[in-house]
Amino acid sequence: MGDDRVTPRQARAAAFTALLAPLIRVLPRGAAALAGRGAWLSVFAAAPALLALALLLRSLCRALAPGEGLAPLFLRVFGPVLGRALLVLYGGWSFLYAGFVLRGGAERLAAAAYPHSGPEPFILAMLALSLLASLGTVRGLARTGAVLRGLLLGVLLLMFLLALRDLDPENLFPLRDVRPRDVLLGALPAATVGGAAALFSFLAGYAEPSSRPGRDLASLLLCYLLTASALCLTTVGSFGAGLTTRLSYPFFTMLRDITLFGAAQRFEAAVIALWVFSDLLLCTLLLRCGNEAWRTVFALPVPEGDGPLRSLRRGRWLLWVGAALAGGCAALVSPSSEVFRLWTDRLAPLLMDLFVWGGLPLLWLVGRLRKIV
Amino acid sequence: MKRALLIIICFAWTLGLSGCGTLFSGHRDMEHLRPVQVAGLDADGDGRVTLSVCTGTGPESEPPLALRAAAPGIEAAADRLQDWSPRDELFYAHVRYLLLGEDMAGTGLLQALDWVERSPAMRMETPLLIVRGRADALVEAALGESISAAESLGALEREEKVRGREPPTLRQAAAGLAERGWALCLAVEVLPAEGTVLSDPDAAAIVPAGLALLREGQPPVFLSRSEALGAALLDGSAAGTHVPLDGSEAELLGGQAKAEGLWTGSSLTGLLLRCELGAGIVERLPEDDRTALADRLAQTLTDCLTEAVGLSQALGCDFLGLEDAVRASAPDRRAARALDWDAVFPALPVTVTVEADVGRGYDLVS
Repeated sequence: MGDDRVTPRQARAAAFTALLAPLIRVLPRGAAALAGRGAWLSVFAAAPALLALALLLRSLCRALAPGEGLAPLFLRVFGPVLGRALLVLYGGWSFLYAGFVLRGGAERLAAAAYPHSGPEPFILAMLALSLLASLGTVRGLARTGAVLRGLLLGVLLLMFLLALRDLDPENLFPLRDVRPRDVLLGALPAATVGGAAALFSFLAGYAEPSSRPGRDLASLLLCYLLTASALCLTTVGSFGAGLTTRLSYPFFTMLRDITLFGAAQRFEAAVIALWVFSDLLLCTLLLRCGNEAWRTVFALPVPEGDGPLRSLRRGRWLLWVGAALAGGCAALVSPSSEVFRLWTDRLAPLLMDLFVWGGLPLLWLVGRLRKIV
Repeated sequence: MKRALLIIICFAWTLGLSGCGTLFSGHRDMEHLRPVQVAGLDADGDGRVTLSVCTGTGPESEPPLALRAAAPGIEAAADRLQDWSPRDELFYAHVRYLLLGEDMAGTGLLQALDWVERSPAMRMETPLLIVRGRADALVEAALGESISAAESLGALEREEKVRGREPPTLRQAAAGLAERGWALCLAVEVLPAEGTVLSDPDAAAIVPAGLALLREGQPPVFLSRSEALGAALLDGSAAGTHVPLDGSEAELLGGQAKAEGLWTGSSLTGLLLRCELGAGIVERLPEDDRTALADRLAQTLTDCLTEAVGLSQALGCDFLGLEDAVRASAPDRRAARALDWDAVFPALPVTVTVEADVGRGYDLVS
């Protein structure tokens, strides 16, 4: 990967920032539907599964050569034919999910801030920016993620504090009526969203090894779980679990009602605009992940991060193909809001679980059996 | 250099998408906006809705306007209302009160909630009031010169706040309906001003009408004054309420009724409501002494609590929130978990005990 390297801190920051986009879309509605008023607690139930996944990925990454991402490991573990087939699927899913993220971000902007507009202009703008960023260096992406993390976390913290005033304890307590089974089920959305970060392992070749991997992992996991829990706490605390599941974007609807000492209000437009950065970062990382998977399939070299934009040499044409796939998916994935809701609530999480919680443990298992991992 | 230029162009393009420019967005001058302060919704049957609005004073100190339009949907009615003036635009970002007429409340909150949530201007924190009768009648009531419905409702809201009660908002009502199947809202009505201090015989007055119990898909139930007082005693919001006592009058100084279950083994056999509170004398007939007033107050409050619980049992709707207290009083956790509250509550015997201590006010010494 040359000198296009990412420090562990930058990698953590980029992963967390990218996850904020699906987190807002899936939680807290998903957790509230399953765990009711216990939604804020249920996200912590995802910790063991996410920890196990992280350890599994660490084990997989130990089997990689320096500068290598996860893609070549598929070939070594499953062989050239099956390995390539799986990489085609993983790469395709990365591109399609990037399109879904674009569509989700555009729909959110249109629904929450521009109700008289369709999502198409936003999809085009975000796709163009994502493609532009993906043609650059991974180091640049990670640095952007580090800057955005501070900004988005700061905004989130402020919104959480302002939302505390409108919390109704009756919407959150008592918890004795919440069944443990429901709390465990409520962890599924948090596990699905957090697990999506596993796809970034395709970019493992760009990351410098960490001197304190346990501490890095713990801090990322804790930050993610606390943010997810605070999202659920404030939203379910304001609306109750029942109403939360009925709203399209409960967090942003909650923001619309927040005022700062009665003088400043209407923060939701600014926050929604900021969240576009998370969508962009996630989409860009997914384009690069898909690119890593497919360039391994076609045995293409690592794309030059510093080359001219219009250059298609050294495999850069694959990024344009991926972007076209993502754009096509964004345009076609939801002909209606019901179909989009079906994708958001069912299909996308199911497919993500299949690739992350099904495919990666299978990679590890076969790798262990063949003594490669 | 070219990459930097391309990035700058992209960001400039995205700035243009923000909608802040006058050329491509719906920019409007403040002088051409008429802020709506009260919005009322009525169901007309056959799926038609009447939207009535009351604006504030105009940009050139024009008096408030009351407007009404009927259409198959709320947004369609809002579009029709907009037709009243090609120059000024009704601006819904500062709606202070959302009113639901009795018929509209009977259809539930989904339609109003959908309208508010989709609107980028309106907020779910808007106080929600249920009108006894039609909301448009209240919005258009002739309240007197330059007195708008918003100002009258504002006066009612201030009175409630003095008593420590905030009118529930649309968000709270919708959350209550979704979570518990019921929501309590403040009710208001329009009454002729005849016999009041208003000099205009044709004027009307907006007065509080107690509480309205909303249940999804069912007509609202308006609690009588005594039932509302019983509900207030149970949720601890009765302080400051004046209680007439056959010519004398007492003011409640606080206190809350506590509920607990009466258990025989693991079976719930009854409900006990206990209330201890203090009251001050607001007006005293010469023949009434403190002991008699205290006894009469205790009896009145007992009747209020009994009526409130009786209504709750008759409707099969625990809007007083008794279930949690009863489960908490269970002898053990198994009994609490095994209790089928919905089945036992409607026929549960209720015992009410009230102890009232009437303090001395600024009595005339006789």
